[in-house]
Amino acid sequence: MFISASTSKFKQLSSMAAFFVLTAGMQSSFAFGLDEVYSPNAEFGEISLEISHARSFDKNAAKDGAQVGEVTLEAGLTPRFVVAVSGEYSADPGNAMQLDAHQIEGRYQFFESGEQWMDVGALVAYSFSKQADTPDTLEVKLLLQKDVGKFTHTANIGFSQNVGTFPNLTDEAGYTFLWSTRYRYNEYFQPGFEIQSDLGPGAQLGYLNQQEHYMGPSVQGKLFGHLKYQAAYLFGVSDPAAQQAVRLNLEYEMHF
Amino acid sequence: MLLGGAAYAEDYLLTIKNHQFTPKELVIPAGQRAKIIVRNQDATPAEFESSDLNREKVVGANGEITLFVGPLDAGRYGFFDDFHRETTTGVIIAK
Repeated sequence: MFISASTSKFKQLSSMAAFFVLTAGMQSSFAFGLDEVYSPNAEFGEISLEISHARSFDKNAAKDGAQVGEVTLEAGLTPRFVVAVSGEYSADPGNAMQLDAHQIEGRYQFFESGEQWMDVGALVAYSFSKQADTPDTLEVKLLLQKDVGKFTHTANIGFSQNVGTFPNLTDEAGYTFLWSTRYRYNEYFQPGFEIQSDLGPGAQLGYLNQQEHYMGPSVQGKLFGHLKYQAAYLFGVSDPAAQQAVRLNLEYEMHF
Repeated sequence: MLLGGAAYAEDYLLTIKNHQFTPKELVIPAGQRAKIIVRNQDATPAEFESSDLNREKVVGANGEITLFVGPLDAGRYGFFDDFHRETTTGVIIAK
């Protein structure tokens, strides 16, 4: 789930909803959101506890120190289906952390890994807002992955829709695009790069400088046989984005 | 092509018994996709894992899974059972 924080007049922002609302209606506002780039492949029989966190860095105090995060419990219930429940939190620059939403998410893998030219899956997530002035959100993502030699390329194309009617919030769907390329050097160390783009609502799709784009180096791997990690240091490459951002993700795997 | 027909050289079989892969070295043709059946004959689950192949999949006790790999460049691609990673290892050799 794309999670966010902002400095707008909406002090309590849930993840996707606020992200797209702000980029749609308040172009000058900063809306921070980074997300994990999901593989379409499910891991049957695995249960995992996952913590993700991201923070912005900028000379402008209004963009510096925004934080978003998520604590997730997920389980591979079948060889093709993973379900996850999570709590999402955020902090606007200078403000304390707050719980934004509870979320339930399902991911489905359409084919066996490598069976087709490209691995394909889908993610559907529903976020129950915990803040009075923000709506629930529904998010759908297409998950794509392709191995080329020792490189793995992963893309997520998502859209999000507010659920319910709230004053000053858009009913228009918002779009995201995430990309990750990693070199599978070994199990422990897989460097690469990552792109995170919040494209905003449909009317904004043609205006790159009204969207938030980040790109930069990343690394991931698996340590001690059970602990997966991801880290990315991203640079904002459009005006609405922060100058830099860091994203960290830790996942402890168990089997049932 | 995304949904193109699967053209595999042939099916290959990897067996896990007494926490050992048989064969320990599986030879497949380079440059072609291969379908590999991993059959676990032990009474405990195993997890086929390989960062070389980007695969990670649990094989239930007395169960089996299907893996699709390749096309691979000529070379050696290590794999192991993540539940017994020190003892249960093997290599796919593409040539």
